[in-house]
Amino acid sequence: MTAQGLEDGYATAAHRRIDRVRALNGAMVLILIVLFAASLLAGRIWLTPGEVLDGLFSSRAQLPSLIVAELRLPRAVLAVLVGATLGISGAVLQGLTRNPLAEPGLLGITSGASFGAVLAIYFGLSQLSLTVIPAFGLVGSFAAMLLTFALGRGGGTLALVLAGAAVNSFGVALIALALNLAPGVDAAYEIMTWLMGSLANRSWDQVLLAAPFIAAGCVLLAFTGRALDALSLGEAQAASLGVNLQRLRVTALLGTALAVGGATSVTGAVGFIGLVAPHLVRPFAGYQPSRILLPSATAGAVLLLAADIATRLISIGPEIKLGVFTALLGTPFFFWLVVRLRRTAP
Amino acid sequence: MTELVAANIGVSRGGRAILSDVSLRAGGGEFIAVIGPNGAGKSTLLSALAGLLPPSSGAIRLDGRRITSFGTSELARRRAYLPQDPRCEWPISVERLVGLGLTPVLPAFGGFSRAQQTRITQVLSDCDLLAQRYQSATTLSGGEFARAMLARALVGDPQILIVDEPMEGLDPRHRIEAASRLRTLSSEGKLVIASVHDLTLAMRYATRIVALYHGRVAADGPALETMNPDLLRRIFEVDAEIAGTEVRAYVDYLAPLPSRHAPDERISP
Amino acid sequence: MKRWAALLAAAAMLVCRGVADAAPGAKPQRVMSLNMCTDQLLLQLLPPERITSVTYLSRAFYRPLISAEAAHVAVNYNSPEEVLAQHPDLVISGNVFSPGARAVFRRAGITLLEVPPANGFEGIRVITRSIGRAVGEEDQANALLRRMDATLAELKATTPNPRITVLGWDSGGNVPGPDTLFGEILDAAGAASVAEKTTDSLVYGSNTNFDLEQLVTLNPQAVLHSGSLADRPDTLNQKIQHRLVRKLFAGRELTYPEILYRCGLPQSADAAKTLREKLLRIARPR
Repeated sequence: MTAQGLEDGYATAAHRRIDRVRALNGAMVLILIVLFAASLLAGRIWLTPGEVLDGLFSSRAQLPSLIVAELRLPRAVLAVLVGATLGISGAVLQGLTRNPLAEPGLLGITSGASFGAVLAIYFGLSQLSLTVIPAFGLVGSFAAMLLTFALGRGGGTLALVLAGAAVNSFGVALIALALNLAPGVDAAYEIMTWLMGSLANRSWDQVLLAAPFIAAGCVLLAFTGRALDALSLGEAQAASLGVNLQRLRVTALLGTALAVGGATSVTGAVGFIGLVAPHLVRPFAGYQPSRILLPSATAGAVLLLAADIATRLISIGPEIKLGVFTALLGTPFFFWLVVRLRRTAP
Repeated sequence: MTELVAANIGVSRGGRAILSDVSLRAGGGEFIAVIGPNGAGKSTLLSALAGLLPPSSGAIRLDGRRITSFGTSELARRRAYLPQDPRCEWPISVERLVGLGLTPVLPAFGGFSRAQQTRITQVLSDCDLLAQRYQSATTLSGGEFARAMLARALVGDPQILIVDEPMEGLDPRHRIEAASRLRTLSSEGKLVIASVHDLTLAMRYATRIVALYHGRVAADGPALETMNPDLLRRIFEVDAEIAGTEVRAYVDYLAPLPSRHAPDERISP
Repeated sequence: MKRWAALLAAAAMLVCRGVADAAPGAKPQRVMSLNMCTDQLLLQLLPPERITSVTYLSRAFYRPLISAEAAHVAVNYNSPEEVLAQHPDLVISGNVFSPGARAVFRRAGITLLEVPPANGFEGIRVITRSIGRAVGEEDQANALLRRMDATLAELKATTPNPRITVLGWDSGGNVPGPDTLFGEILDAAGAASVAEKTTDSLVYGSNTNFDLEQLVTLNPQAVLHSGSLADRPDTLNQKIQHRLVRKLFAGRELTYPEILYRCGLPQSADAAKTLREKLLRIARPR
């Protein structure tokens, strides 16, 4: 039997398999569109689809149109951007470390961004402008990235992960110190609220601020796909296949610092999305690192958008913060993951 | 015909010399079995020859050019390397695993071209893996996994194949198959270098044997001639006979020799 | 409101135990304040020689009426060790000490006056009087309260009808409800908070859930916030710096002096009067 004959024979089956990823991406984009529309309709004041369309496309400054255009639309856009960022960076870091528990916070970057923002709040600099906290957050995430990189260089992936854990602990300790020394009740309350993560009352200003960093970071992360695939075979074989491991680490780290730093700076600390999203899509994409990047991004966007809508609709007393919500839902997932690993482990 | 030349290379790590003054000239059509006791430096030599470990002294040349002057992608297209105890971290399908061998020629995004897809199928067929094509690589048996890794190494059609302990952990049938495959590849014009513990198979299937001892070349010559009891006594510290003749020759181990070295002179692996 | 005032008066009576033990007519010569609000009261009632120290917060933090520096008074950092070190006759603080610390003060012969936060004008009266009594300056205290009551009466007589609708945020970005000092100041100024039209539940008297969508829908005549201060929190920033708020409420955005809305001082009535004037300028521009 010729290779061509074999190939044709299996082409149908292969085609079916490729379709799974396409189907997955298609389904998720569809869900995303539905949720996005729901995000514009839902809230304490439910709008009709007519009012939403009017708000989006007409130029009259009517009440519903203001709510949609200036409050709900930037919020939904931000949810999609931040969710996608967390999803794709989680996928890249899980691929880089070959560890299913990796997430953007692993390398210390989210706590660096959080500490940067906390510093801005602590010194009362956020009064100057809306851009101060995000700017400090980005500086913080970059500082964390450089520190992790410097600590872990030359030691392979394990050293990188350990360095990230060390930087993470350091960031958390510094945040606790800031809380401890907070100059007034307001600052402490504020820091804690910020650490719980939220998308409430965000405006186009924040979208415009975060978007360039998110875009730049996500582009860098997208380019790591091929190298991550090769890394499935271990570092020696990947190197033999022409993968520059150092460059891969730098790209992944820099991409995460830009994207996750930018995202965390405008929303506060939101966890678990980066952990959960890749796991949800992996079985449908053949477990291959490069093929889960885009689905992870869309899954992350879907999850965060859904969580945000949920926090708006749950009305038991004070607002449930986004980060609290994702943590509450993410932890059962963690349990399930452990149980599953226990069953499949030798 | 490709040519790989190592000229007086030495590799040190942590102040200790792992390889000293190793010279080797290898070309396409050869199947070189590298033998030696644990800790002799076989893995290090293979890594160095693959261009993954720069030697502390001396130089390695591939087709006349220093191996360090090759770009990693270019080198990846010319030679394939399989380390000891290879693993696959994610449960991807065998087809995709084999496809990873094409990484050096794939662009940043996108799938395989039709020609590449055909090539993958061809290699799967050559290595008897068509039935396992869509199976998850982590569920393969030892023999199947070894074949899958070999297929991954061959899919890019490299001129040089460097394999560290390809027969480790395989049952007798799969060992013989692996050795036979490597010999076939060399007879097709490729240069195959493998480190081997099974001396009988090395003797029967390799064209040439290079013996390492304490980081130096103890013997280098045609397989059947080089394998002799004196060599075995010297580097393996065993009393052994080469029994049988020609293709039925085998190494018959008799007894270990009393240890020549004081314990603290032993080189740890 | 009356119910709150009665409860507050009872509470104030209970904590003013320490004062009742002092000899009648005694004027403590060394008084120490460990609470930002009582700092301000003390600095008004006593000359600097009789004040041992006030908290570091009365330096510049919430733009105090009287700063420690201006009054040439020493500064403390709210710790029991400083109390023992400075050994005043009387310590005035909020309800922050453990029973252990209280016992130590007692043994050292230091009188402790613990004062709750003022939840309204009645609370201001009770607390100002009790502190006045404790430091032996009742006349001064009563004079301040008479001025306050006069201002309040004047405001009440000229309450605009209809009331001017307002949405006020405290420095934490929450909307205080009617049973708070903030709420009573708004009431005295003749304002009506639009937040009362919602059915949101209150947390410690404040609405923590009031969001911009509700603001836009209810469209008050003015928004009120504490403006730029050293520790401006971000949750308030998100709201007052939001494009929509800046656009919609341009010219209708008012700031207030935080110290007078946060601390129950006799001058809080003046804050209500200032607010009244600002609101009238917005509601009925000439």
